[in-house]
Amino acid sequence: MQHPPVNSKPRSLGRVLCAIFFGHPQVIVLVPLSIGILVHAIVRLTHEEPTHGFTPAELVRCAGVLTALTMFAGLSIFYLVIVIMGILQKSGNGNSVTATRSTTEGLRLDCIITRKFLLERIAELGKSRTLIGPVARSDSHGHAPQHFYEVVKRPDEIALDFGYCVYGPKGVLLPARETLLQFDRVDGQFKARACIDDRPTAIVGVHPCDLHAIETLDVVFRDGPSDTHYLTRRENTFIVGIDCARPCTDGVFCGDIGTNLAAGGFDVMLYPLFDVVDASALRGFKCVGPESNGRCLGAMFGTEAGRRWFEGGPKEDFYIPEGKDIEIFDAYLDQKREAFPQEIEADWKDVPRILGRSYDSLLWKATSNRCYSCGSCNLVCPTCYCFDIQDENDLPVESGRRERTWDGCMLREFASVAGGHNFRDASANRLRHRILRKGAWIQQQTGHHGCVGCGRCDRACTAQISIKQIMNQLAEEARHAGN
Amino acid sequence: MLATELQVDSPLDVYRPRPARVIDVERLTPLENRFRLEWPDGRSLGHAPGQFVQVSMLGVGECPISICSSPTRSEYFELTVRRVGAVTSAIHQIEKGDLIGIRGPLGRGFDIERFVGRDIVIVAGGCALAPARSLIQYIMDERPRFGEFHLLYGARSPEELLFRDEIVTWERDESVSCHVTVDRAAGSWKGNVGVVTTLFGRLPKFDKPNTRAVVIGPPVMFKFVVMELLARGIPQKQIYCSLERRMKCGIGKCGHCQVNHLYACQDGPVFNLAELTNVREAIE
Repeated sequence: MQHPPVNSKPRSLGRVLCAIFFGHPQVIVLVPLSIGILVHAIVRLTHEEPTHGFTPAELVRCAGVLTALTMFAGLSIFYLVIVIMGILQKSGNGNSVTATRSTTEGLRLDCIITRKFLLERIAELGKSRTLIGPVARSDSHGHAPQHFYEVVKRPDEIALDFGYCVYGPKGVLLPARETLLQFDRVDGQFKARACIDDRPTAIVGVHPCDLHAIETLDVVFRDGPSDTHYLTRRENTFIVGIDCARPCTDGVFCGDIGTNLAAGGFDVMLYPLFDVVDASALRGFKCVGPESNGRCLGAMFGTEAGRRWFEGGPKEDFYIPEGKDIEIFDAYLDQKREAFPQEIEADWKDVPRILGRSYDSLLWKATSNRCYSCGSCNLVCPTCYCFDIQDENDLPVESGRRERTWDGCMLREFASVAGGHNFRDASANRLRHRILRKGAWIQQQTGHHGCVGCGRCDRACTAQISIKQIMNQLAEEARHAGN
Repeated sequence: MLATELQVDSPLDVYRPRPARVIDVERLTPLENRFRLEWPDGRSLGHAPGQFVQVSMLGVGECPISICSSPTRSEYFELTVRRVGAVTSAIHQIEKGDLIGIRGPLGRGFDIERFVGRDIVIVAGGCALAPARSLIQYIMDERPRFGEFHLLYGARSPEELLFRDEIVTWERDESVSCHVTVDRAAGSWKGNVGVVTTLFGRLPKFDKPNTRAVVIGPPVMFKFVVMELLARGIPQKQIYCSLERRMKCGIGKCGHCQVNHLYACQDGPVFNLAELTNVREAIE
């Protein structure tokens, strides 16, 4: 991305002073204090007439003190210069942002943009990356259209107002089928080459729950022996999050988990402020009405790459929020917190303990009696990452590929070994395994959410089995058992 | 969006097998062959007893195989392969001098330091004598570093006994008490008949604080041997076991080998029994 030329702006000085005042309060004290002490020392030395001159010892002491003070003042001023230069450098590049307040969840409003600005930026992003975003698709049975992550050519194909995508965005990072190796067998020798996909990609429109899910996948594939295939794709994927002002549909429990807010895992996060608050109060430009620049969005930068992406967009459609705008953001977040009802009848922090004691519950068998072991829940789950590895041969068979495909722990053969023993032959055991992984074990292993409360498995289940209902029933059992 | 459109080779890729040369093949039973391998560049595998490798037959697939030789014999490494599926059948086709793909060593093996100076009881069942052999060979090669050594081995029938020549040498060796049994026998078998736990009666009383026990075998055997050891007063933290699970990737990602919250391929396959308290799927 090209940086616009550095041009000094009249607002720079005020912004620098503000940034120093809010960002580096120590400078405010340090610099005047050291200069004051220095001046005071010099004045005393030169203006107090000595009665009988300085003794050599006094002269040495004075010189020492003076040197120390000079160095102290010099360092302070040097620090001040560095701070100012840092700020000027940041503010020099086109649309820029200085430090703004963060909420307790680590959320921040860095800038406000119009839709026009966003579309222009997405088009720019599409010049160097494959664009992927939610697209509405109808089926031939006349059902209401549903959203899926798909490759798009034009920014306006992306349905930024989507509720939820049937599948999470994991398939972009961990494709349902991918080639790990290509191999050749010639004259008893063999050659195997790793296939690493490093093509630049951008996912535009990822809800907070899925951002949390991606963080979990990142840890799984990074820690221990790291998976170059996933990590390379992840490094080359630019992620634009979009916040949900309210639950995307009934029954999701991201609000219980706290995964309805994301403070990281994105390059840029967009906030649809107009969805909740009267955005016409926004200071910078008129956000509604035919003469407006299009509806506006708030944004927070998660990475330097995200910040750079917004530099160079049309300036009239971008501004730095101050005062009133920040209040609007706070109001948006307040209304959002209210909008997510409690769905799990226990504190989410207690769920691992509740699940840990559920091992012998009758509920597993009672519920799994109607399970078809179809694996639909695994398929749609944004944190399900299990896979199988298979070889595919070309014709003639001298060459071929080793491929990785998604797999699911609810499928009957998942835990069976050579010789026929199946460690989870009963569907009750498979159901228990999945729910305990989602609610307890993945968290225990990775420190990140195993379940993000997106509700996809509940919606996808062909037998109306609900993870939320299971958790609530187990929570009830735990209450009766007195633990 | 085919990944094959674009290739950037990564020599350090965790899924990429390296070629090893087969330098010897021995038929152990009608179903099992022992393969001796070496890296073409002469390096040693650098494994611990109890670790495994993923063996690749390119175009057929990959399967996890325990290393059955001891790291004390570092100029080669050995694998015992039972012919049960497509990949193991393909492995049985290979001959001396062929190349075969290897990833590993993988997983957590036995921490030898915890066995040094102790009395050792190894209980192995069926084809699990192969992974146990990496530890048995180690102890035999460095015999003075260990205390009393008891080895109990059970197989379904005399024909299925592995490493019969070596068993004879262990039985003759006075520094080991080696006992073998089969579940059922016909004809010329003169040894013990019965499940492996029946052999415990032949062992002297354990020096409980100083004994370290190792259990390797099929899931059915597991529980009964552990119960026998516990009944004889061996604490859980002195019992080690190796869990067999389906390992596809071998690096703690693919999920097939999960044992409750643990991954057998990374957290194990060797576990201390105390680590498996409340890990219900491990022994059930």
